[in-house]
Amino acid sequence: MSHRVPDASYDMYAPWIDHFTHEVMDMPLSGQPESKQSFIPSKSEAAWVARRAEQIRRGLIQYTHKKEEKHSFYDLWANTERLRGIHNHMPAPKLKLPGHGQSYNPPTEYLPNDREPYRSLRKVPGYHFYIKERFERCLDLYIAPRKRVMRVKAESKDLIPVLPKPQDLRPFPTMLGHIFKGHRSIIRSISVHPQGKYLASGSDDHTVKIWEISTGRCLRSFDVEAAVKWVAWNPSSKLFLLAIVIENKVIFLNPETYLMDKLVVQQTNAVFREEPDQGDYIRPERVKTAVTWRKPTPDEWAKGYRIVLEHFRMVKQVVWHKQGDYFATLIPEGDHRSVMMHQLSRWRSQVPFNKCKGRVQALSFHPKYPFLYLATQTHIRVYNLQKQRMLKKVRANSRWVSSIAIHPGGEHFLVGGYDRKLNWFEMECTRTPHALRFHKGAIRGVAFHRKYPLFASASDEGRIIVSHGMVYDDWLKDPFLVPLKELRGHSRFEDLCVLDVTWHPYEPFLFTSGADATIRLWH
Amino acid sequence: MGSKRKKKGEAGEAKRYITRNAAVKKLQLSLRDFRRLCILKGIYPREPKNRRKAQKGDSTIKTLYYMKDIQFLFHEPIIWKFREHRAFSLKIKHAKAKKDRPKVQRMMQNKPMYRLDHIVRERYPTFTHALRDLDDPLTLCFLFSKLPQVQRTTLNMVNMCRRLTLEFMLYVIEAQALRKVFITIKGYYYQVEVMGQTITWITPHPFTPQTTTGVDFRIMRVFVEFYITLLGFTNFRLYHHLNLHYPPRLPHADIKEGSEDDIEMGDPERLASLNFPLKRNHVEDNESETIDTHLLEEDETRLQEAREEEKKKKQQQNLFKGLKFFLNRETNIESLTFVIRACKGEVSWEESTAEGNTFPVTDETITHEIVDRDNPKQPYLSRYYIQPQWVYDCINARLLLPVQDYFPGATLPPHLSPFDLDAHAYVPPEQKQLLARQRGEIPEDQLPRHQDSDSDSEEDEGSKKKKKKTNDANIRPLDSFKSRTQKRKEKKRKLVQKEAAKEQEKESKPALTWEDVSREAEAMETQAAENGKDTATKENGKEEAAAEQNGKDAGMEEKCNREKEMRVYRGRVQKISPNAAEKQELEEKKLAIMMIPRKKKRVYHMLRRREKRKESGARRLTQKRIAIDHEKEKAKKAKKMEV
Repeated sequence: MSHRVPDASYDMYAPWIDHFTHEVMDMPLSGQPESKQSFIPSKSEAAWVARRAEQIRRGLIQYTHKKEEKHSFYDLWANTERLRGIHNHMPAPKLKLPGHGQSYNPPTEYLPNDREPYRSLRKVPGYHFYIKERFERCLDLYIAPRKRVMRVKAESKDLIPVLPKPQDLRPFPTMLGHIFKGHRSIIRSISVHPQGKYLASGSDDHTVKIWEISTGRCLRSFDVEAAVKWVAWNPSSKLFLLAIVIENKVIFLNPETYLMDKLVVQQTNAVFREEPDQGDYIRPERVKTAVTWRKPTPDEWAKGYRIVLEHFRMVKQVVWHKQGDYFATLIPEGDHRSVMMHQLSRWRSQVPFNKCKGRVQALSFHPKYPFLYLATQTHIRVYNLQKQRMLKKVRANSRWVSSIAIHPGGEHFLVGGYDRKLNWFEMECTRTPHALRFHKGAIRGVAFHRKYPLFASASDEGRIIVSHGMVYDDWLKDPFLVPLKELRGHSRFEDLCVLDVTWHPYEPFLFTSGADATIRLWH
Repeated sequence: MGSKRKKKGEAGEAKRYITRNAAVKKLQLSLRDFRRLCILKGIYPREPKNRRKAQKGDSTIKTLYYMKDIQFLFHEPIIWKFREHRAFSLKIKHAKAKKDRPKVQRMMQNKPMYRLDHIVRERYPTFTHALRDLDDPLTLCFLFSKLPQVQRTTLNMVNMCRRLTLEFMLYVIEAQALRKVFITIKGYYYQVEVMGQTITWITPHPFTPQTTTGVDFRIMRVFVEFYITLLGFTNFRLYHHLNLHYPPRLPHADIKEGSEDDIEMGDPERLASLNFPLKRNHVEDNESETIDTHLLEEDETRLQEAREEEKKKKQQQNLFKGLKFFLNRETNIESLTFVIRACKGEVSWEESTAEGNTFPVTDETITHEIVDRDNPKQPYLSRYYIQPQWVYDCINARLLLPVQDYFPGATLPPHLSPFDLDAHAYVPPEQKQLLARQRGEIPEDQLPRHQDSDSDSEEDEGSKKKKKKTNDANIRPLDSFKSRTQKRKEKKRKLVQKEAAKEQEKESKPALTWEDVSREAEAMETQAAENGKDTATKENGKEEAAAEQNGKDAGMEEKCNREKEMRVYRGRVQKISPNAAEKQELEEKKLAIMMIPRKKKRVYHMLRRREKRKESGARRLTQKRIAIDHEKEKAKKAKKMEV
């Protein structure tokens, strides 16, 4: 030791601090266990133990609990108090019960072709999937989501309404009577003469033919310049006149058949020989540009033409007022002048509406009053022509109206649509029409019979449905509608089938014209 | 202005449903405990009306519980038991790890335990509710009763299931509640009627069921745990309803109340107990009418029907009364004993098979011995040896069927399902025959009989006569057999006479039937012979009518003809096709269908689709059957030709 220190600041002679005492302490610091002699038992503890021991001896303390029984059964439902259960409980559906096919020995027809039946009961083996199936049922019970599903238990026949027998609602056409053959193309329109003897038809083969109904003979055939869109007989008994629509012309034709009363034929000719005196009547500009009346040329006169009405656009339809003097023409592309009214006796025309909303599809006169029904694509408008105002606007319940027919009573009308819908409207409550879903194709024509409570509708799928439509005077009573007969016969041609339907004025006969160039009479 | 904008997922469907994970979290349980709780409490997921809304915009498929159901679970005291159990299992685990055996033992004795009484009561507010839901419990308990007693965990359960199912079967026997039995390839279906509720359960074929992969027995055990409690309480109530002591005192199985751990019931003991009549506290004559006449008072026909049904039921209950059956050891003794005793028959088997046999094979009063072998020895002429299917078929038919089709070695008639009663679906010819027999249209004797049976019974007569004097009690069944054979002969004779008479009639009458095809051939046969003149005049009349109609129909056409040539034409007989009326009806129906309102039309089309499916199934089966029958006949003919 050289008594050298590494740190110069280190004080080698600092005062001594005594960390451990030098005095003798009460408790020794050594870990030596105490001798047994030094143990002094606790008196209080001894008392506690004695007390417990006494309690155990007496049975007051039990270290093993008396076991509660897991299963002991009693009358559980004796107490009728209702406990709270699951909210809106849905019981699990029961398992399906087995049919004949699951039998161990089923009738032979139930057996799959490759399986032989067990000839006796002892040969039936255990079912391999038995436990699996039970397990799956358990899974279904606790994990399958449940839902209430309404099941219809009825039979289909319970839903079919009970209708009166068609036999009890006779007469109505039930079978094909005649086929009028002669046209070579689609027959767009037919019309029955109000006396019920003649039938006129206009076809795409540029001809108009007059037929005798009783025999089915073609009496006359007129060649015209273009395809005939519409034919309509004049309803007056004093005139023998047929209106034909060709392109933009309406031609009035006297067919002059020899079977007709000669007096009437001559009278008709006489009426149209002279142009009526217009006096100081000046045509309004709006009419002048739309329509011109002219006399036919001598050639045309010889052909039977009596008056020619030339419109500014294509004409689609011509409808007669019941007296036979007034008529209306429909020019679909005429914008605001799409409907025009004409007077035959005075050669006068007028445009009744300043505006025309929507494309007009069909026109019809009221059978009793001077009302005009105007069917646009989605609406039917009823106008009073005398008072010159609209009576009613009806939503057609159809996306595209094709045809309209007014009931002879005047309180009801039928509207057929290209969207297969047929609606029966009552004038008093037009909001809820009777929707008749008879057809599966676009409806081309609807017609009411003038005398019998019958109506017919024809559609592109080739079916003509004749129905009974009884109307009551009591407004509260709904009309009684029963489909009576389904007629088929026309064949399809270029997606068209039946194009027009008309009733005989007084017999329960129905005429239909089709795309197969035939007219059929059903009786 | 002031209205708050609604937040998504705070009302409606989103609040009404809760996913499983959320529910587990909310209840603070493990998934396993949650599952257990759901099974015990009968809580199930529900399909929401709009899944996307219920899942707050998520459209993946999750298990959704009804929020109210989960809230309902909050109050369940069993949840605390689950928690206790969890703590307990941790402690046990600890003690076991320390190898502290006495502690483990002591703790095991204090294992927390819960009872399910209150849950049963809650899930089934009335006893009828419990009965209505007894199908699944019985099926599962019957399965567990058939399991081997190997696993310690399921041992108690298996024993308990054996006991409870046996008790239930004994109740059915005592109450004569069995209505239908059906043996399928899966197992035996039993249908009983208890207090107006039909209960159906399945038992497997008498083999130890095979376990397949993908079966979690832990889940099944929870179900069984609950079902045992339910079944125990139901049995208690059912037994008391019949004034029987519960638990039943059975001679062979030593069942004590509440000591289910000690019972070890094997199959032989079970059989013995099944064949043991229970003691009633006091016998009550239960003959009073059970129809609820109060409700049916107004409707006389319905009341009549109900009475008839009741009568048939009585007949079924006493179907085997007075008959003694001996079961050979190859048959399913448990099922047969249950079924026969439920219809008041007496059953026994060989002593060596199981305990509980009541009479030996040598007993001469045995009427039927049920055998399932091809060529058994038939030493006793006083009894029928038949296959087991006869018993089941008889119960379903509710009458004793002729035995000859069921003789050992014979090709059995098909075993038909008593549950398949849909009139629109296909009805196999055997069922048609059975229905006719039930209506009493087919006498027993008209069926083709086994050649041996006739001679057998005739031979038997001698021996039977001897017995008549000795044993009065046994006369009835034997006597009836005898009288039956006599009646049969008489009827046969009558039938032969009738047929002969019919043939004579056929020969005597001229063939006029070609005119009217639609009329039934049989009716024509009898009518034509009796009033030949009448039909002739009728036909004339018909011709005239047809001609008239024709004239009308021809309408315009004929008018033109008339103009051409004025002459009386001979009326043509209009041929009315036999299915004209049918066609007409079809057309009318078609028109009527058009008048169905739009809303109903959808339902109508749905129903039609369903019916069509059924019809096509029936058609397929019919065609197959025809083909099979045709082939059989062909084979028969070929055989004949060979001979």
